[in-house]
Amino acid sequence: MRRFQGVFVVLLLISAGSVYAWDSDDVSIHGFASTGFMWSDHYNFLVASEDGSFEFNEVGLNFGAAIRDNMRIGLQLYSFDLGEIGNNEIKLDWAFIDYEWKEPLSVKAGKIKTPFGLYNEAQDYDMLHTAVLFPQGIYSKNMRESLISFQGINVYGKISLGWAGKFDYDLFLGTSEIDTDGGVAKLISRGGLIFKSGKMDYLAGNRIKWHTPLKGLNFCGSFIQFQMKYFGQKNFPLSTFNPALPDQLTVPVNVILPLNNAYTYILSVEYSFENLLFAGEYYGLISRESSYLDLSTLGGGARVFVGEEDSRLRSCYALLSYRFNDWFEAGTYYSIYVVDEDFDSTDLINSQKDFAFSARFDINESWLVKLEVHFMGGAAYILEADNPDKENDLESHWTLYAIKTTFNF
Amino acid sequence: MKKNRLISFLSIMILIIVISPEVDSATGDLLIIAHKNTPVSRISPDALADIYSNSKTKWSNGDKIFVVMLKRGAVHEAFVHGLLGTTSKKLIAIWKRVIFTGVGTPPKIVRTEAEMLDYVANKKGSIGYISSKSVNNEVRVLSLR
Repeated sequence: MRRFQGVFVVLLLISAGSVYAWDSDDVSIHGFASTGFMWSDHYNFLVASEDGSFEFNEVGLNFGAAIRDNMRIGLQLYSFDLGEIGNNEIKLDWAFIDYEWKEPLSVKAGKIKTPFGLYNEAQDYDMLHTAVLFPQGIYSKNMRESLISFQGINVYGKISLGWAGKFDYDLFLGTSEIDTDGGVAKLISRGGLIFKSGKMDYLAGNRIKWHTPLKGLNFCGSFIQFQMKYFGQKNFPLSTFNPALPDQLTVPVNVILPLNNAYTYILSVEYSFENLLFAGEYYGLISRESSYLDLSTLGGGARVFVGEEDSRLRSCYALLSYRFNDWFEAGTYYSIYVVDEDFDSTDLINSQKDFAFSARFDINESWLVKLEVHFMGGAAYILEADNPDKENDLESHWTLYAIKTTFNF
Repeated sequence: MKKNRLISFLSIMILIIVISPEVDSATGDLLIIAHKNTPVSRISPDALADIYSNSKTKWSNGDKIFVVMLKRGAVHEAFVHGLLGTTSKKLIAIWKRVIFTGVGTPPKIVRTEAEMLDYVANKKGSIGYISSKSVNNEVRVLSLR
């Protein structure tokens, strides 16, 4: 795998001599490589940022070919490193066969980027946006694997509405795997629970984007319903099951955490006028998480119900960016994220505010550099896995700095 | 008298330009070209913008539209700024998103007008742009409306 990664990097370096993708009439090849550094004055966020970390990079290589005029195949290999997750393991980012039957009706099957909100499909590709980090309350890098792509089928199309504009739609159904050592594993591993495995049993969703008659103004609505299951392990004192036994003796017990009938949605608006872009999104994730213990090794049932908890995450942001000239673009956004039924943004543990400023410098068509600063309020983004002493070391305001450079062809 | 004639001449010229429903080029001597089997002979600037932003992917007869673009140059800039009303940066950003998210067919990029002409002449469903001095009768010239 390391040798493959080495060859991969060499290929990208060779192509640096030419800004053109490799393109014949049959196959096109494109790629990108990004690397960055993050530092924060409090908390480890995404990476070991309190000490500063270079464990922040992505590499991608994609291939596309037309089988017939209306049918094409494509695949993209992707690897990333983000602190303890990713670790530059090369994986299939997407791979599908796409049949464009008619403009209002086409179908794609395979591993597909999930159509969700304005930027879910594009969030991994640094050269496609101004910011280094998208608002993490919606486009969380830690939770990326849960909704970034799925294996299944996507029916899509574009429909003209005449004077009322046009709309694009996506309908999709599929499933996906959860990495045992990814961001979801980090998030679930808290309070002594160790994540073992997870699976998205199914996800079904749709996205509709209305391109209004006013050029540049678009509205978008996305909805996904899904069912997920996590498996973990936790040490329980034996006294939990038999009060006569001492607390000091513990036993590992398998924990099953199904997330049934969960759904998530995003409402979006985007307006672009010449070099100005405005975007705003409102997001919600509603789920009921149940807990079961597998006590079969202790002579009990294999699925003993412990309890259930409703969860309601909300987030919203407003973003502005402006391209001043061919080489400089600047942007800012303000986002709020709340893990709370009542949307209480003053609760430090369960809320997060993020005021970000970004500067993007396009050295040439293929190479860019970004500088970014985040003024953060709250600690809802902060994972216990990265900050074991989080609750005893709460800081209401902290700052994150990021610098990143990307080459693409 | 001379001033009146000049005013009359200019007025007539303006009138001719305004009432002309179709012109063979929208910007100087820039021409929109398409494969000879393309089912249209005219195209609106809005339709052109939709095609070059991946918003329109099929001709009216169901044939797939294959977009061709010049890599750079005066003809390319005249097309992007003058006809599409956008910037090269924005156009490149749109197509990079198509490429890296896999949501459509990326455009064919050619380096010269000769390559543009050759591709459009031979690829069914293709559309491109060229200066009038470079065009030949192997492609269809679309009128702008």
